Amino acid sequence: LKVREDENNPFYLRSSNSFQTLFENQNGRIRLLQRFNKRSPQLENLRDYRIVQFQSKPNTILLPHHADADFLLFVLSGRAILTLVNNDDRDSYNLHPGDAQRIPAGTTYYLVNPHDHQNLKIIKLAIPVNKPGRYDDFFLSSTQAQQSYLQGFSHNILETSFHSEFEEINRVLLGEEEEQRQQEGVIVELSKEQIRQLSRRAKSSSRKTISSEDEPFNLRSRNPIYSNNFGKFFEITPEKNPQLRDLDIFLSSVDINEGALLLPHFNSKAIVILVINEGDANIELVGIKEQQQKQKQEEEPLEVQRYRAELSEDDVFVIPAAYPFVVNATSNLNFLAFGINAENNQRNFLAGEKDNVVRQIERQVQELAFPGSAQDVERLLKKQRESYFVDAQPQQKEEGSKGRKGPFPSILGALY
Amino acid sequence: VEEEEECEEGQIPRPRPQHPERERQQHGEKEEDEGEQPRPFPFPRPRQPHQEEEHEQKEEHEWHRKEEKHGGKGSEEEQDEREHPRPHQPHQKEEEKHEWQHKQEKHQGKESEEEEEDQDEDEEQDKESQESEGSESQREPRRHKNKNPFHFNSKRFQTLFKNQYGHVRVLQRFNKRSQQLQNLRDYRILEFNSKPNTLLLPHHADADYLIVILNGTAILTLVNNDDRDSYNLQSGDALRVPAGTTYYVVNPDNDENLRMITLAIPVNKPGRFESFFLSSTQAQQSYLQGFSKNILEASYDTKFEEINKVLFGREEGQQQGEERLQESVIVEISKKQIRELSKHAKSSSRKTISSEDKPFNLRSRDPIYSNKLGKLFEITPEKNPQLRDLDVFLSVVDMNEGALFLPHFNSKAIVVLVINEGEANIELVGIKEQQQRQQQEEQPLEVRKYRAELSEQDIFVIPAGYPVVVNATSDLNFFAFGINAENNQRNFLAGSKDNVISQIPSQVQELAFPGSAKDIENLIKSQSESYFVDAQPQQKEEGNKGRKGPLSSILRAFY
Repeated sequence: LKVREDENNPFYLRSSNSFQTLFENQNGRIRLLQRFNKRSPQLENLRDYRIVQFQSKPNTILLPHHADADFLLFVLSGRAILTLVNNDDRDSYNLHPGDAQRIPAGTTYYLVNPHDHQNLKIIKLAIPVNKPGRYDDFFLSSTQAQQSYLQGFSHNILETSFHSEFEEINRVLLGEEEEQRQQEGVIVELSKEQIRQLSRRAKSSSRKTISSEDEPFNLRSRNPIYSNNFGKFFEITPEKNPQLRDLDIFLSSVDINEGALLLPHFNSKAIVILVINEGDANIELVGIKEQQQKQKQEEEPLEVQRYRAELSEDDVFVIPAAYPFVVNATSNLNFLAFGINAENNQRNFLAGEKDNVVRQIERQVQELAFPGSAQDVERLLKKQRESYFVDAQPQQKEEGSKGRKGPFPSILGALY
Repeated sequence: VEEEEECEEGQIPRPRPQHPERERQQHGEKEEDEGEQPRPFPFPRPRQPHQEEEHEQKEEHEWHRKEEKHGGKGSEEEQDEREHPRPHQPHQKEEEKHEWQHKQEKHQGKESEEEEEDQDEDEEQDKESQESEGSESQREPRRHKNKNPFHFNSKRFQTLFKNQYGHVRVLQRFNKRSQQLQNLRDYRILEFNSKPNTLLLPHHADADYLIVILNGTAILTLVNNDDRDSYNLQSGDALRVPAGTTYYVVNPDNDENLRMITLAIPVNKPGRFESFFLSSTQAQQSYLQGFSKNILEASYDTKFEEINKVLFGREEGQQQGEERLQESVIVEISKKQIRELSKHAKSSSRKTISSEDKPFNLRSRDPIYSNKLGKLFEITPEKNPQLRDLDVFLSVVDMNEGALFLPHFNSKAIVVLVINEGEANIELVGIKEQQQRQQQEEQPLEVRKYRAELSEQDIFVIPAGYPVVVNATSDLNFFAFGINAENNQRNFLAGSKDNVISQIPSQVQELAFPGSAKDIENLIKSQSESYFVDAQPQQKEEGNKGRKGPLSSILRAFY
C-alpha cells in the first residue's frame, strides 16, 4: 500500500505554503487559500469555492468593501462587530466564536474587532459569482494598499454624478496624490469611543436565529449530534438554516480530546473542507489507487491508497465524498468543516455501535463478503461499544506484525 | 494587467486561444498554482486496445465504400452533395472527419498526455483543427476511423471486473470521444451483467447512480447507516442509488442472466468515480485496509490479528491469505441464501412511480406513443422525484422489424440511447462545421448526416435539437437516458401528430418552401400515421425532383 503523506498528498493544503497573502499590516491580514483545482485535478469539483482567512488585532476595523462572491463567514476565535450595508439599510451584529453568517455577493460590509486584548480570527468560504473560483474585493475608499473603485470613473463622470468639482470630490473622497491623507492599509485602528458608537445597535445571534434568513446563527446553540467523553460534534445542515440551504452547505464544529479518535466513516455525498482551528491531529483518508498501466488491469488487483497527513492549526484538508477517513486528535483539537453538496448527506460509520453501515448488511451477504463467519463478523462489530468518538489506545499496543506476504503488498506491513 | 502563457510539459506547442480567465492575475494566482501537473486520472479509465482500432478501421472502410458506391449511382443520399459542387471534395471529406478525430490522431501513442488533455480546454482543439487543416489532405486513410462521433459500439466499454459470474464495464468518457459531446462530461455509462444465482458484493461509489434493469431480475439492497431496503427488480425497473450508498445486487434467477445499465454522475471529479468495496477480494482490496493497524484496533476495540482474520482473510503467519478471499466482486450464492435475502424485498408498483426512493417501472404507465408498429414508454422528471433531482428522463421503445420512428428532434434533452435487443439503422442530422472562417458568407451552410448501424449493447448519443430517425431492421428494444430533460419536447417532422411543420402558418410555409402551401399540406397529410410507421409503405420513391437552394434542407438529409 502506497501512503501519500504531506506534500504529495493532494488533499492536504498546509497553512504555511498554501495561502496567498492578499493584505497584511500591523493591524491584521487577509489570506486566500490556493485554488483547489490548481492543487490537484482530484479537487476539480471544488473549483467554484475558495477559502479566505482573516485575522485582526484588538480595536481595529476592516474598511467597507464588497466582493463579487457570496461569503459564508465563520468566527473561529475572538469577537467581531460585522456591519452589512445595503442600499436602504444596514445591520450590525455582535459575533462570537461559533457564529456563522452568510454575506450575500455585492453586500458592502465592514468588520470591527471590538475587543481590547483578543485577536479576531475568521474563516470565510467564498463562492465567486462572475468567474469560477475568482473574485475581487472592491473597496469604497482609497488606501495606500488599494484604490477606491470610484477612482475608476472619469473626472467628468464623477463631477456630473456628484454634481461637484473634481477637486472637491478628490479632496473629500479619494485623496489622489495626497497619500498622507489616505489610510495606509485596509485594516486600521479604531478608538474605544468609536467602537462604543458602532456597537450600540449591534444584535447578537441567539437560539432563535438558527433558522434565520439573514441573521447570524451559532453552531453550538443546538445540542451536538454526536457527543461522549471523547468528543463533541456540532452541525447545522441546509435543512436547518436557509442561508446554508441557499448555498447547499453544511457547517460543523468538532471538539476531540487529546488521544481520541473520530471513528472511520464516509460522507455519502458531501465534499468536506476541514479547517483546523486549534490543536493537532493525524488524518487518514482512503482512496482507490490509480491504475498505472492499462494492460495490467485485469491481472492486478485494484488496491486502496492511504492519504495521511499531520494537521496543525490553520491547515486545510479536503475529504472527498464517499472516501472513508478517520481523525486522530494528538492534542485537544477543534476543527471547522464546510460540507459542499450537503443536502441529504449521510455519515456512514464503519465501526462503533451507532450509524454503522457494516452492521446493516445482511448476514448472508456478510458471510459471502468476508472471510470470517457471520458470527465472527457480528462479534467483531459488537466489540466496540462506543459510537463516533473513542479512545485511540484502548489496549496496549499490538505485538508487531510478522512479515506477511501475498499478492497484495502487505499494507499493514508498509507502515509498521 | 499581466498575462500568463500556459504551457504544460511535453505538449505540442501550438497557438492557444486567449483565456479570458487567465488574463488577470487574481487572488490565488501564484506560481505555486502551476506546481502540480495534472496526473493521469484514476479508474475508470477508458482503454483503447489494439483490437479496437482494427475494428474501427474496418468500420471505416465500409463507410467509405458505401459513400463511393452511392456517388457512382447518384442515389438520393448523395444528391445534396452534388447540388453544391465542391471543388475540393476529397480534401473536404478529410476535413469533416478531422474535427473529432483530431484528438485521437494527435495523441496516437501518447496515452497519458491525452488524458491530461481531457481535463479541460478542449476548445483549443477546435482552433487547432482549423488552423492545421492545410496538412489534412496528406493524412493517411487509416486515420479515418471513428467516423461517427455519436456511435459507441460495445468495444468502447472498458472492463472493470470480469469473471465467470459476470462483468462490470464502463463506457469511454463521452467528452474524450468527441468535443461534440463535451456537455456529457459529467455523465458515465456503466454496464453490469451477472449470471444466475450470483451476488455483486457490497460497495459504494462517489457518484449518483440511476440504475435501469434491461433483462433478468435482481434483488438490489441499499444500505444506509441506520437501515437497509431490498427491492425485487425486473426488466424496465429503474432506481436512483444516491452517491455514497452501500449496495449489493443479487441475480436470484435460476436461468436468466441479469443485465443492468447505469447512468453515473460523479460527485468529486467531473466524469470520474471509484467503487469502494467493503470486503477484500482477489480483484480489489477492502477500503478498510487503507486504515493503519492502530486505527483499526482502536476502532473495533479488537486485536489486529482478529480483525485481519475476520475481515481481511489473513491469518498470522499465513502465506497464502488470498485463498480465503473471494476471487472477484461477483460471487456465487446458494438458493437458500437467496431465499433469505428475498424475504424482505419489495417490488416496484404503479404506486411507486412518484416515489422519492423506491424503484419505478418504465412500463407501468401507458405508452406516450403507441400503434401497431411501435410503443414508446417514458417517465419524465415531472413524474418522478428521483428523475427530477437528476434532471433526466427515461424511456423505453419497442419497434417492430421494418418500422420507422419518424424523424423528430428533442427540443433540449441530450439523449443517450442504449440498444437492448435487435438492430437498427439510425440517421442523425447536424450542421456541417465551417472549414474556414473567411469563407463563411460565401459558402452555404450544409447539413451533415451521421448514420450508424446499431446492434445489441451499442450506445448512440442524440444531441439536443439534432433531427433523428430510427429504422428497426429487426424487432427492436432500446432504452434512453435524456439528460437536461425537464420540459423537453419531441418535435416531429412527419406524421399527423406533434408535427412541428404543420404548426407553421401557410404564409410562412409558402415563403420557406418552394411548393405552395397547398402542396405542403398535401404532402404532410399523406402520412396519416404518427410516431411509428412502416419503413416501406409503397415501392421506393420516384426520385425527388431537383430542388435547389443555398441551404440543403434538414429534411432532405434523411432521404
